[in-house]
Amino acid sequence: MTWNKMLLLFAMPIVLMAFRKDDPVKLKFNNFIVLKVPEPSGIAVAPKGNSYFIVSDDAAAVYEIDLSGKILRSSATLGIDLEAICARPDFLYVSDETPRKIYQLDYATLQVTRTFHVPYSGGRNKGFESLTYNEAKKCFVLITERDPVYIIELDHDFRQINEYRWKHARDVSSATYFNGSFWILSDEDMTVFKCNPANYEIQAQYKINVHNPEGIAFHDGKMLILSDDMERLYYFNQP
Amino acid sequence: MKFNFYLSLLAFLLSGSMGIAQITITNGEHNMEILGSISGYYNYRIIKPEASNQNLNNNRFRLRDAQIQIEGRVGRTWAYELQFDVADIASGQSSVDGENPGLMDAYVKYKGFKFFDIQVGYGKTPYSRNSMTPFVYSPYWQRAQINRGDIFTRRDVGVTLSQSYWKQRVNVYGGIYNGLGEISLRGDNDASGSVEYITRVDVAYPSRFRYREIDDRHVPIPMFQIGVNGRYTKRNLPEGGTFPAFSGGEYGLRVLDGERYVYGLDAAFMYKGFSAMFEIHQYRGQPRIDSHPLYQGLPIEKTQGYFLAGGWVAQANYFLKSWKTILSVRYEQLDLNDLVNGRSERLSFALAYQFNGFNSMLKFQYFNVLKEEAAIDPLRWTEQFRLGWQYLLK
Repeated sequence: MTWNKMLLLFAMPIVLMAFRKDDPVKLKFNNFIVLKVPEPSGIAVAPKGNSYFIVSDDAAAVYEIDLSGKILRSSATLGIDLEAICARPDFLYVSDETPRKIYQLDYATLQVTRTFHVPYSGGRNKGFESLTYNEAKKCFVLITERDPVYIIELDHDFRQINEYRWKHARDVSSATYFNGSFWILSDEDMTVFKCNPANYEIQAQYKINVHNPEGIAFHDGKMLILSDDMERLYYFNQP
Repeated sequence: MKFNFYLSLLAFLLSGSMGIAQITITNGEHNMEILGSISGYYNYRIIKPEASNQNLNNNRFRLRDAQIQIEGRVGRTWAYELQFDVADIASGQSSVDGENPGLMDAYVKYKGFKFFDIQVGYGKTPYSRNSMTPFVYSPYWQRAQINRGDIFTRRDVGVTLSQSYWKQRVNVYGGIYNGLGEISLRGDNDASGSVEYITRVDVAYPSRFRYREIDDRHVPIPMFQIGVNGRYTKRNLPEGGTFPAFSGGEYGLRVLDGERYVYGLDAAFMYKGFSAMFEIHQYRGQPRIDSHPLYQGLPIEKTQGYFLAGGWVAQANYFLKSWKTILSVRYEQLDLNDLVNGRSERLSFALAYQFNGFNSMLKFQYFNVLKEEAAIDPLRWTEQFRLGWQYLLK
């Protein structure tokens, strides 16, 4: 094969790139704080709105931080691979991805008061990376990370009610319910999806310039994005 | 005839799409995951017209991988992995393919100590970033010559200590191994009873940097990693002693009756879909006997009691995210012995299309031998093409 042919073969996709469709709206963060929580992988706003709860994958523990990022307290080691957290008015709920367990924690002591097992036989590291509560449907929601992405609705005893196959991103790293919408974060696509909470169909999507985004929450007019590898909490204007 | 050829090619490639997904079994404490991969390609070589051997046996379909992998975690402290390639076991070859052996991993790791993790068993040695990067994340069908396991062994039986620091940006490894590589699995050590020591340190910035070649995420910040590694062994065979069959590898460099140092440096970079890597390795061999064939028949006054081998490889990649396509170019140099004039140079291109990420990927590689070290490693071909499919059971 001649060199000209080889060059043509490799140049063609680059030329075609010029005609590709535009990306979604890009959001830029306003500022960030550096966290002292090792490998933070999920965030939830405390019901009173005066602190955040963060799960640490590395320490397998829950940390409470104030709004400036200072650690207020932490739990004992809870499990193996904590990936998501949901703050309800009465209890905190944490997803332990590898053993497919959900821990219910008491706010006062950060101790486990109840453990639920939600079976899922997909990849060990591709289990429930997202845990939140869908206010519109009054149910908990667990989302598998990837290969494939399933949105699973569960009752208050974590019994499955419904299941959706979601194909709009390569992976899902976090989700939350806010302001009548269901928000889904994709780490690999670095994209936030605003979805209809009834059926999880996309209403809008936003690209974010954050490396390894693993957690999403909304507070005080801001969208908060947690980066695992950078161990930072980024603040965006609420889209 | 041509129609039959294309039909066979299509059927072969499509066969890769049949597979099960990754499965996890858990009792809440012990979590076991079953994975695997199937890959195969069609290989076509252009033979030199003047080559005395016009045998076209390398124009063929090849099942490269039929791997089963079992990974487990017990609580937060124990981990294990067993990975084997049925395609290599079924081939029945006596020699070992260092790039793609039959048994790939069989180890247990304990993570309960504060200052280090300890791994015992058989697996990849902590030397060379490219060697440590899982092959399934590459758009190529073959690693660079220097990293294929013919110059230094890529896997061995032994003990590895490792630890990460500074938010996993710094990784430190140290280990002690038989030194015979994959041949260690056949039981005995060689008659010297010696071992090999390997160490590696790598540093990444501004975040941890996984051992990957392609920036399929389009990271929004420039990421860097630099690593240094070294390995040493001294093996003095007693009178009449020999190394186990095939332990020397294709060039007789993997084990040496004498002293051997190998040291290397590697660097990797990623930003917005572009990624690049560079690796350089230097091998210093000091065969104990002056008449050792690696001295090339030269007198001690000329060799000074040692020879050098080594080379480098540079690779640049771009991931066209919206086209799910990887483009890559790689240049490599290899000098198998500095006592012989010449070195080899190769240029490769790779193009991979992802049907489902790395889980289902069509890969094409073009090899061009720019220069060969004819005195040691004469080749009868000048160009080679490989087209095939990689399917991961994930």
